[in-house]
Amino acid sequence: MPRTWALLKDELFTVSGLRIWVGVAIVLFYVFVAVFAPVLSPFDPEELGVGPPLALPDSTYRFGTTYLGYDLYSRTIYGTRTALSIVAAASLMAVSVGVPLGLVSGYLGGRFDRAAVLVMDSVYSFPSLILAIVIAAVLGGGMFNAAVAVSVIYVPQYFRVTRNHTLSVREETFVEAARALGASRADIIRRYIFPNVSQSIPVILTLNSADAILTLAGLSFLGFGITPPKPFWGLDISEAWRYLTLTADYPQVWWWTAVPGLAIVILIIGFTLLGEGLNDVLNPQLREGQR
Amino acid sequence: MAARAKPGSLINYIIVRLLLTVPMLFILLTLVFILLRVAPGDPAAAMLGAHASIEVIEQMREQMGLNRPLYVQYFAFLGDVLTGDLGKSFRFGIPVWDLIKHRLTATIELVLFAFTVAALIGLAVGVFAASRRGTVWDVSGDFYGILTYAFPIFWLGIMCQMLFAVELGWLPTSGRFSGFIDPPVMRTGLYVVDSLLEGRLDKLVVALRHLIMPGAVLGLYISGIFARMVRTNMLQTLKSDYVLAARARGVRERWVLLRHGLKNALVPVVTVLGLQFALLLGGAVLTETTFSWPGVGSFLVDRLLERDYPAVQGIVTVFALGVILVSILIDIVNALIDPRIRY
Repeated sequence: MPRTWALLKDELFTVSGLRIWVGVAIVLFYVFVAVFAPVLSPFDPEELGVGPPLALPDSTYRFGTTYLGYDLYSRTIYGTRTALSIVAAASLMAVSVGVPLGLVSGYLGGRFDRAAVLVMDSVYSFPSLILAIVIAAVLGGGMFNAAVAVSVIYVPQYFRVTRNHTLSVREETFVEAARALGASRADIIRRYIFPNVSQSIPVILTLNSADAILTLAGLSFLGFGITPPKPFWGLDISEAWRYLTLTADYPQVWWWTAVPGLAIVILIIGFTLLGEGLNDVLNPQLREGQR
Repeated sequence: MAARAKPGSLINYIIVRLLLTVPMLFILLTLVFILLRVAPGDPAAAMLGAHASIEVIEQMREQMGLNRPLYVQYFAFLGDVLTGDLGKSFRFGIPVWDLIKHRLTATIELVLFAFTVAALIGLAVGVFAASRRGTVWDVSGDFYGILTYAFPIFWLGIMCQMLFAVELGWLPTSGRFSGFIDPPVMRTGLYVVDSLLEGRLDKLVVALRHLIMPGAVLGLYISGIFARMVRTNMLQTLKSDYVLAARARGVRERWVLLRHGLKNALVPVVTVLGLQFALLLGGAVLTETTFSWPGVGSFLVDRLLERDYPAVQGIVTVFALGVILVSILIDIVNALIDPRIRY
């Protein structure tokens, strides 16, 4: 981590730095909204009929209401909680499976490594959204199951990056020295390899967070992720769409789809800017071609 | 590796490449099997719903072969797939393959159109950004990539439906063809091609009007990634010696960009195309559902919502086979373009 910070410090006022700042600002804003959701939202997001059905945005219902009279403003605010908590849970699960597996596989090598790579590559090659949909559908709806479904598709990515990095670090002199001094395998992995490998995790973590939110939104849109009345943007879009296809009342309810959609778009932009900015700074060998 | 014939020949490469996909196919099929067996509770009970009696469920289990030991079920499944049997839909009682045959062509038509859109936009934006490196145009190109990625594809679809179909009335909201005329006579299964083969321009127009919105939405989604890849590869190629040599010879800049830069930048793009195919399939599921496009993706969602697990198993297997097939094709195309790629 000290190396990460040293690299970051020099870049904070360049173009990459600017991207990081904007990304951080957006993500922090969402975190702020999620934390203070009860203070910020005027209504209970899960309470039916707090307003008239399909009210236009006005001073009371700032983002309008849905057909069932939910306050869209409160739901959008509370949606940040759902989104961020599931993404955090899913990332934690994916990291805690993918990273240790990658460390062990890369360090041990041999048959175990080959088998692990083959399995992970196969999973990686499969369309991730479809995998997540099937898992979520089989497990059933709800926050935890959605998090599991989303986490599975990111395990191979953490595995790959960790393993490849481990392969190169394994050959370094300081690892050889530790081995010569009689350090155990577990110790070498934990004390010497992991700290060096861990710096590649933040970039994937941020970029995967963006992807995870899109996947989660897709799942909920199709009816497999978050279940009503839980506030989540993807779910609100889905409900609006179902209403629209039934009534063909399109232009009258634009806010019902536009608002939650924009909430997703802005957060994804934030995560992407942050992730790519970090990538530029932390993986300078890639910068040549890209920037 | 296994093939010893003529090391370095193209045939040899293809044989080895095919052999290498065997374990991958095997793992993906195993994954499909495990996924649909770890369902909490019993698939038979889940499909029949909460009100089914124990006898009926038991009968269902027997009919589906669920009462056999797991390993027997597993090998039966592998055997079936390898002999081309994808199982029967529980809800329709028809072989899965017969149900998805026509839907497959609908998905292929959508995906092909989307790819064309993505390639055209991606090439234009990518080349433009690379040739004006470091300018406002370059940054805009970059932001275009982020923006297309950030738009949830179904949301973009719904917004387009509201604008172009309902508000402006330019295009149909959803579906693949008009209900008022017969669809074109099936030859390839692609409505656009079939209309042309039949020589009916009116049908072609109807087919295109239905295809444009879902195809463009799906295409836009991929075009950003495409643009980035083209840009990165262009920049790398433009730094190479032969481009420098061409410039030194006084070749015009536009010619340098297109002839020397783009042509060589396309090789890695083809490779990544294979990876994007998986992304495109995922996007197709969302696009098809949004636009009621009668493809395999929307059918999968349908079957999942009805817990028709035998059908789901068949559809997911088809997706897995499709992904593997495309990755083989891409590698062969690459080997044809670049003779250095051999085992």
